[in-house]
Amino acid sequence: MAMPRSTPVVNAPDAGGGFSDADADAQLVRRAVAGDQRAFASLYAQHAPRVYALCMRLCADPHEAGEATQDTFMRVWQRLASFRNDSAFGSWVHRIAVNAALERQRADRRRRARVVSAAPLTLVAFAVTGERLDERLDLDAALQHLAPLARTVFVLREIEGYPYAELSELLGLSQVALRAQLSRARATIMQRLAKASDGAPRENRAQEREPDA
Amino acid sequence: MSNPRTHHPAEGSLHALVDGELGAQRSAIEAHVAQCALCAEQVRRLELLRRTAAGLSRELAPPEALWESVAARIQREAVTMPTLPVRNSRRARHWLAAASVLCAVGLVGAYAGGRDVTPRSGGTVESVAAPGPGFAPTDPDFTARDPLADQLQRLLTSSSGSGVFPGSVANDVASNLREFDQALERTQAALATDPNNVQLEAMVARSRRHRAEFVSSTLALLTGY
Repeated sequence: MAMPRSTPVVNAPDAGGGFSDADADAQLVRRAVAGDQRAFASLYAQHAPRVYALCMRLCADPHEAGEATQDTFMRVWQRLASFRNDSAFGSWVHRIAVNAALERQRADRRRRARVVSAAPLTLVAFAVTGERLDERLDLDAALQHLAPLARTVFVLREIEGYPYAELSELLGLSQVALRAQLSRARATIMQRLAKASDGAPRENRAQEREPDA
Repeated sequence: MSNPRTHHPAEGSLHALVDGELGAQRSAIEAHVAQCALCAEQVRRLELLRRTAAGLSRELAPPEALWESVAARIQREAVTMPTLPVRNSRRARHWLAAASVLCAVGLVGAYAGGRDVTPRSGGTVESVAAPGPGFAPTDPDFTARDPLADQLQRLLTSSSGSGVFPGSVANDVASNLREFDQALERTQAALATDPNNVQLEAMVARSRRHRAEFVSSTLALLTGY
């Protein structure tokens, strides 16, 4: 059985997990707990793409993202018996993934220098169909140039849709500090996007007369 | 309060406007933005960035090798069993205590439900099959690799003939472990043919638990020496 390819899609910003039906997940979890490794493999197939995308963005490094994804599913396996069906399985896995990626980030920071941009292949993989394709590609590229904390806040808040309260608890930062990181991330990204697309700072365009809103 | 025509609001206020987080200041800042091309452009860019970020794909297919790594790690670490600290007590354990544990194994018979399946030799670690084509490992039960059972096995093997404890105990433990394994295999085989059977699933889980309890309590008793 080959690994099913997931098609990149546009998601509404919510905290739910992938496309899995809750009941189907619950049954797979039960069977995996009972030792059915094929059930666990199915859970992996359904949720790994979401986890991997998250880890790629948080870690800004394909190797680290792979390691964080493995760490995530190891822990999912270890804690499977303790999963209560009161929350969505995908959300539970997502939380584990965020923590795994953040741990890798902290360990990684001690090891290496500033992030490098990923190979173009990665950007293509993140592409979505529809309008404004370039901006999506550029945005993922721009993310990699953020400082880890600013990137984390931007990814979790703006892409993954975590509310401030949850981020505050997760990252141990006040909402004021979180907003500051988000503003910083946005400013950096917009600066990079402007340079990338125009070759000249956007300030020139901004000085043109715009019609009133 | 800033004069909307001449004083730009702080950068943070524009972010807050876009995020819908402004309270009392909102109308004043909106009034300024309506009059100010620079700030209007900034707001436009911020809104575009928000929309773009929210519209990004949140899935990315991982490399195929990743599953193999996950499965291999699980097999290596065999994390279904809790680790047991080796006891330091030198107090002599009575064989009665050991015997009572072994007698409880009589309950194993109760789990021998489902079909008769020719059992493989139980009590030993299964050799792990290499992953077949595709990402699903072919080993039907990669949790068979179990560090505590390994430890018990080694203990029994190394002590037989060395007189640490009677060889009959080693034989009893080994045969009881085989019975647990056979019962587990039978139930798993039954489950494989009737995968939606909730009772069988529960029986498999119970079988594993009882096997694990037998292994860990036997190990605790034997390592008390």
